Amino acid sequence: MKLRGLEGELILCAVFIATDLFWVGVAAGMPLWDGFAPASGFLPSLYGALLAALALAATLMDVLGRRGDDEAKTPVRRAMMILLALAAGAAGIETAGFFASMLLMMLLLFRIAERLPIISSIAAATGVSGGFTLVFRSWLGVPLPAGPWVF
Amino acid sequence: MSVLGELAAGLFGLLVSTIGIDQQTGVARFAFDRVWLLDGGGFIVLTVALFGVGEVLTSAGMTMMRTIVKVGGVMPTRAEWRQSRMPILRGSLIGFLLGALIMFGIRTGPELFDKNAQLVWTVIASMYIGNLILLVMNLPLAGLFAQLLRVPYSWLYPPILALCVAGVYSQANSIEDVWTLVGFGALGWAMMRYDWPAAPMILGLVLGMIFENSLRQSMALSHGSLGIFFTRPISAALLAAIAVALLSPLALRLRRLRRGLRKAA
Repeated sequence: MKLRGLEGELILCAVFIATDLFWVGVAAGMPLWDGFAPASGFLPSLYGALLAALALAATLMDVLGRRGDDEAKTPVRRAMMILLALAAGAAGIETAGFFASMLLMMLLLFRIAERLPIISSIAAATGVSGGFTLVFRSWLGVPLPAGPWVF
Repeated sequence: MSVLGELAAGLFGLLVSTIGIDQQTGVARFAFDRVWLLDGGGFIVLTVALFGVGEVLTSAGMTMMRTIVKVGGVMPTRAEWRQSRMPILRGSLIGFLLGALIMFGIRTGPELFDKNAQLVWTVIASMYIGNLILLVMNLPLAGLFAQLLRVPYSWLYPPILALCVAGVYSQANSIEDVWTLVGFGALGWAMMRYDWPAAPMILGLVLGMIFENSLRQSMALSHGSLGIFFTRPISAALLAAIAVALLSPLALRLRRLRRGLRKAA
């Protein structure tokens, strides 16, 4: 998947504007003014409207001001793969426990994203997950989820 | 990215700061019946997401392009110390007074040492002790720490991501914070990719609640008149400074354009 600079920028701008409009829509259901001072809905509405206009203006200026954009940038597919591995790790924390889910996340990244040797990947993933579990749970007393395992 | 982009990023931070319970009216805003959203967008979670995960996603894709540098001479020279002493002093002072203290809801000013003496002296003492420990650790171990740069990034970034997850989870023992990390990490990556600055967003997030409370106080004091912001000297001076900061790049550009046109003619 190859996302050109310009398309990606427009998508990001669209996300910003959609969020702003949603914010304005929700804030419209709240009181805007109370006595002399703004009420709960005033600033969210103002921020939303201003941000939509600014995001549009900034993107337009950027698009008009350049740009074949040949800068070296992260391939989208690769970034999405890493993000998916992170999401998989997050999804597994409560069911499989911190140790197992982080082990799996790191294995996915070492083996699939980076194609590193399997033995070294397993050793590194186990060592790092175990180390973090030891430091955070045993030394710092953070109740990291253990899942069905004892660690 | 232009000044407009920076302003937009700051406004997005202000927008996110409106999530949670409105401190003055008690209304739950943008919480969508989720208890974990009532406390608002967490500063630590968003900072780790934007600068930690966002940076990893940006850099990890370019592991092939990264060159492993040979590290040597890590101690700063006398000239480097001389060059950096003012920025260090300025950054420490502004960062401490305007950043750290405001985040804890402490107003900086003449009464700072009277009203919050215990906290302020504790922070100052911790800085002395922390710097001393860092000095003891860094002088002999700087070379060892710098060797981390020789570890290929493909081995380095998965543990960094795991550390981000563990750190974010541990600050409130909340899995929702981890999901926020994933979502805002993706946003941080997109912002870095398209040159949208993330720092103003964090600034907006920190200042949002303080700004809203102060705006309400001022409006109540002036009986709803915006004139208070232009007639009070400090406020008027700050507004003038903001206007100069915003308009000066535009004026410079216009001047350059006019000069170019004159040369062409």
